[in-house]
Amino acid sequence: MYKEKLEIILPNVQKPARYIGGEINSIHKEKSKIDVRFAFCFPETYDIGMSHLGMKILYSLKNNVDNYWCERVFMHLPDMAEEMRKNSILLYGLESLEPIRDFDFIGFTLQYELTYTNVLAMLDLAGLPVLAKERTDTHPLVIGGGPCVCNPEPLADFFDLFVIGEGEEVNLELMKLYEKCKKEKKSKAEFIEKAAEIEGIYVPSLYETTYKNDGRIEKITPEKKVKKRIIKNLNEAFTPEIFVVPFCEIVHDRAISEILRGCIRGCRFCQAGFIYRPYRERSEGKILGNIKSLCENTGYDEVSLSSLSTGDYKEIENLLKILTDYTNKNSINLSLPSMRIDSFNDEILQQVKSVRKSGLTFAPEAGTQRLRDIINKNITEDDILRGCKIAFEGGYTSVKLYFMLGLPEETDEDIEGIKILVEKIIELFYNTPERNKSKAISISVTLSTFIPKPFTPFEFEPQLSREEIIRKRKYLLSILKNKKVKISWSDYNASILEAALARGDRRLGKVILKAWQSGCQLDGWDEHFNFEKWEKAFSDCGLDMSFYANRKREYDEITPWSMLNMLVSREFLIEENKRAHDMKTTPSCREKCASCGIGGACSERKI
Amino acid sequence: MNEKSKPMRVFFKKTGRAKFISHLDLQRTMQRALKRAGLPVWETEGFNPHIYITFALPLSLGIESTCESFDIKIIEDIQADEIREKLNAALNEDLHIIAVAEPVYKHTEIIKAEYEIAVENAEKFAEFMSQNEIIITKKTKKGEAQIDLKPLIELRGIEGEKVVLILPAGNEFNVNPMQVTSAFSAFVGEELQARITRTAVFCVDGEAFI
Ligand code: SF4
Repeated sequence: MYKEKLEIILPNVQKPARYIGGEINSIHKEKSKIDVRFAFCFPETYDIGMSHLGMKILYSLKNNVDNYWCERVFMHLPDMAEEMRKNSILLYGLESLEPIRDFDFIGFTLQYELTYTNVLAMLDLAGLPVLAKERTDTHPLVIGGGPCVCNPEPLADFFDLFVIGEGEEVNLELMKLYEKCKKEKKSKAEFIEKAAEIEGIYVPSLYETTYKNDGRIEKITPEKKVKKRIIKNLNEAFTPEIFVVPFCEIVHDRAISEILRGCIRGCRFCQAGFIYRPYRERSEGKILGNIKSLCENTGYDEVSLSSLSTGDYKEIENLLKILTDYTNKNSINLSLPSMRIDSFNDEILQQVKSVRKSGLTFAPEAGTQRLRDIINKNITEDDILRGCKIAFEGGYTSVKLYFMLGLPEETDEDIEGIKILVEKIIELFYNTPERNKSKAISISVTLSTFIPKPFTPFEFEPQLSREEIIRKRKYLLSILKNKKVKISWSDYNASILEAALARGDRRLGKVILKAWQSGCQLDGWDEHFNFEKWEKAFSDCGLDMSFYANRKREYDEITPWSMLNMLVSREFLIEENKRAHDMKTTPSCREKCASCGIGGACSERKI
Repeated sequence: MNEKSKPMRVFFKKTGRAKFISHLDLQRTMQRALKRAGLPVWETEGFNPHIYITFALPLSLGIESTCESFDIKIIEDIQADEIREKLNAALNEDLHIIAVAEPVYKHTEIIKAEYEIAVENAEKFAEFMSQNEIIITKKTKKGEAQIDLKPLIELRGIEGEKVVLILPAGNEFNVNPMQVTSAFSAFVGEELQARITRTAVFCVDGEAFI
């Protein structure tokens, strides 16, 4: 146990509370009674990782089993990592303060492609070989899950197995199997072989990929597909009633309650909208009960609702009424992220306002109706203006708007469309007599670069080149000059790397390894991101980033992730891609089932 | 404010892992504990209401204490013991409530604090104290100032590895025991590991702060 060593080094690092654990509600168990120890690793800093609901779910779920102990581990910033190295402290669990090298499982949640080098950094700091094939029976199993594993291939070299889909059931099945194998003194290889039989478990070492001369995939063997796991009934899914309450401030320091999973919308660029299907809701009673226990058990005075699109909850107004009855009485703030502009109405605004008045955020994504139809963002200009009007009448004076550049079929007219839309919103503000007259309107426009992702109808699309993205952005800046409008944008370098990793194949394992060896880590942080090193890693491996990012795929190309069955069918994705290029929209699941392939698991389908 | 509200002082220990909680974070941690405990405490009014809480004397990050305290306002009749028990149930052993009582002194009456310092080479501390002066650079609001620590340190004893001393404390003039240990390190000529615990807080007339 590193407690004493940590006490010596922690005064030398920034925000030491995040490295010491022992927070209220953290779970401490007696080691001698534990059969399986699990290190839940979030390859980002404590501040970010501790805000994440998925981690809280799996942490509670595993710890609810008496003889399992799950501990939390986060990415260390360079100052802490250096102190640890100097004092021979290996990466440790925040509960026991013992090195995770001695645990049974090391599980990473992969939420974002630019955290891949952090995985390597953490394995290394744990004193483990980063390559799966170099780890032996004496080392823990290294497993991965989360949205990024819908294309696990770039990480195949580093992991023993991946959990595909929702983890609530399969994690416990895996641990149970492990417990049994451990008692029977089975080898790691024997365990992995058995684990591969569990639905939702993908073992990369059992698969092989061959390539054509032009770099595309020739064949992936065997043909057996791994089907993602889903929880059929969200009301029966495990829900944590208690959260670890951090001592130091984190990004979202509040209770979170999941109200629905999946999305009925089908925006063609959005990976979450497809990989989390089918759409499922949790009942109002369950949500209220969950929020009550969370607030009582944590002392939080803020709660946020988790969903991909809050306004799609069937009884949203009733839900908000029930919830605000409770939160208002107990001076708790209720925040509603992920509100679509078209589900924004007077009543909802009243509810939101009665608790906290923050800025409004809308994501039209594209500047013209034509392009919004192509990406299937089924909102109209009228929806946007109506939403803004309600907001202005309610006293709001600032609006945040998100747009993407580089969408398929985008032309300069669509860029002008952004300018026109923004100007209409400003005009609307001044034409709204009920507006807050003491303030000027302020609009912030955030431009991101479109990144094609696996299991979306746009997985075939090229990412637009750097030159074109920059040209389009400059064009917008030249036509949208207004003191009331602030325009910001994301870095193309990070976008192209994300695009390459998202649709990469197994060969990228070498690139990730090289990049990390040359010093890359914390790539998601501007101040740590070093694009030149990544470029060099690609070229050292004889690979080209734009082959992965900027190349159009034919419908019959074998994708690196084709061994996975995410329930949404390839035929459907192809059909949706064609409809996009034909400028045809597809209605939401609630209006009409689009036969995406989910089939019987989907309850929306019957409506 | 509520007519019936009554001030209460909560004494607690901040030990073990909790010594790495910063002052601001500690405040939030205690507010949440009060909430979890479901105690009838007064909340500030206005746009963003929060539980009223004020701490007697900030404690630097990395220092443990057996004599911390904060004040709250109680708006319903409740026994001190019940407050203590409920709060302890909402906290862990690193933040342990020792006692709850009605305050006697004001925070502004605090003048000194006692520290126990477990430090390597403690036997050299007497020698350290026998210097003519112990000059250190202290950061003040106006920049840096040279001060002589010697007359400010009231040495209470050296027992084995442990040095016990009293230092000026409070809003007016405060000496951080870490300044003493770093001066001592400089005197010995090596980076010494020190474990510091605040063990008592005193008021003007030498009475314990209660
Ligand atoms: S099966 Fe139909 S209703 Fe269900 S998610 Fe797929 S398209 Fe939507």
